[in-house]
Amino acid sequence: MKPGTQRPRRGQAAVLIALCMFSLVVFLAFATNMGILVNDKIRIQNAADMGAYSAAYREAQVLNRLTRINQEILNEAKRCRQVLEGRIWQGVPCECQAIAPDADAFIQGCESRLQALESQFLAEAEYTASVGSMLSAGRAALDANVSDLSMTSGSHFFESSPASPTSQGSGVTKSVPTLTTFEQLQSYFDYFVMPSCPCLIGCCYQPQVPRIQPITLGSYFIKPDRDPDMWVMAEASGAMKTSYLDIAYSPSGGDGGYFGGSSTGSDDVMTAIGVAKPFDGSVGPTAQFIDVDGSSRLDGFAAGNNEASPIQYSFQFLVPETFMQPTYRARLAGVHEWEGSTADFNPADAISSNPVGRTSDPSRIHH
Amino acid sequence: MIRRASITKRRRGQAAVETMLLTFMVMVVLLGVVHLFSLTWASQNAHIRAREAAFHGDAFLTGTKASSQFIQPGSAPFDPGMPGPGGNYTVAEDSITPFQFSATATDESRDDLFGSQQIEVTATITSN
Repeated sequence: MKPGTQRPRRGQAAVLIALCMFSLVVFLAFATNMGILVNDKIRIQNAADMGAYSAAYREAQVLNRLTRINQEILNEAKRCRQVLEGRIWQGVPCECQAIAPDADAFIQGCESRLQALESQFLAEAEYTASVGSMLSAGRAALDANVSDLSMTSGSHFFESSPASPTSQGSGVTKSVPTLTTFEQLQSYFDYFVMPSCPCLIGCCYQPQVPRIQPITLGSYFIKPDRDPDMWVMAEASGAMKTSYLDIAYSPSGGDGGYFGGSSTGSDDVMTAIGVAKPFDGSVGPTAQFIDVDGSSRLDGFAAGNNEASPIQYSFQFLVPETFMQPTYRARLAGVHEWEGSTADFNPADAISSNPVGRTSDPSRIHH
Repeated sequence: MIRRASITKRRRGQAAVETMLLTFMVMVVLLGVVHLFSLTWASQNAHIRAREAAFHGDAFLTGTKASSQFIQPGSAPFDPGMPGPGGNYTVAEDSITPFQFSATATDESRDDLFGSQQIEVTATITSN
């Protein structure tokens, strides 16, 4: 071999080693990046779940509170009927009418107490009070769980999506936007009265008869729909604070991508969805069990009113009482849990129709 | 001839040294990747334990290499005595009261060339 042929090989190994070193460092950086990405993804998924669960737990508190008020309404109505049914009322002397002024005055007192409870129920079920409190709890949980992630303003609870139960107007009770739709039943209040009619000796009390017609008062609330038209879905969005080999990295999600693969999208921001719901409680009877047209019967049993009865009795409230269970608690749910069901609100629809979220395609959500 | 012999002599073992160096570096990188995998694994463990403990209670914090602290002001959402379908969650209060359930779980990566790192995760369910 000629000496001249050896010269170009000088430094060849150094170049090879430099190339190998570079490749290895890149490989290591990718692996590290992947680790950080996986870690952040778990963290943000946890945050979404905790946020949804916290909001659902607050919703469970609200529903239990509403159940208690509904029970108070029912108890007040029951107490009023107990007083009315406990005696025979006397009509106005010589007017010969089946009306007792004392009983009617007592019913007026019942009405004002029932109206006060009704106002309390509506105030606590009102959208800003109930859903506002839920969303506040959910946001607190999001913040508590992703404090070291750069959260974006894209985190929300689908309150802008018309197909979500957290949106304003998804529930209306007596023209008030509420947490969910409740319907107030009308209860009849009447009594037995002895009319006083003119007779030979002046005025004589006649045999007892029911009041000329029952007085109708707003009574307890029922929930026309059963679950699952109440659930909370949280969308948490956040970006890694640091990223290797991400040349166009942007914590605000405006550019780049976790691996520098995108310069037009906003792939720096990850999104996770969490769904939770209150369950296992009951504010009141539901339409599945009760006729809501005012007669409100439950499989033939009187559930508040019984038109076949000469007057309305307090025991008629025993059946609706069994449907008022302040035992709501919260659980995690699935995005696809209610697909194909008759639920009023479906998370997939809420995702599709959400105007502000980063996730618009429910088929990509596999949680 | 003398010149060619010296060149040949200088080249002896060069490939072995290069191979050794490269093998060492490849091994370091591979071990690093394994360590990263171990870190990610530990991170997942810690996250899952903390998350499930926040939902269900301290039972989820026990296990291999797990040391934990379960912080529970107030009642946990888990109540093993609660009957009913799916019912191991405590019934919510019937008033709008602040709540906080949190659990902290730790796990650590395998102790190898790069040492062992401990990962601590706190999961919080809160209204505050």
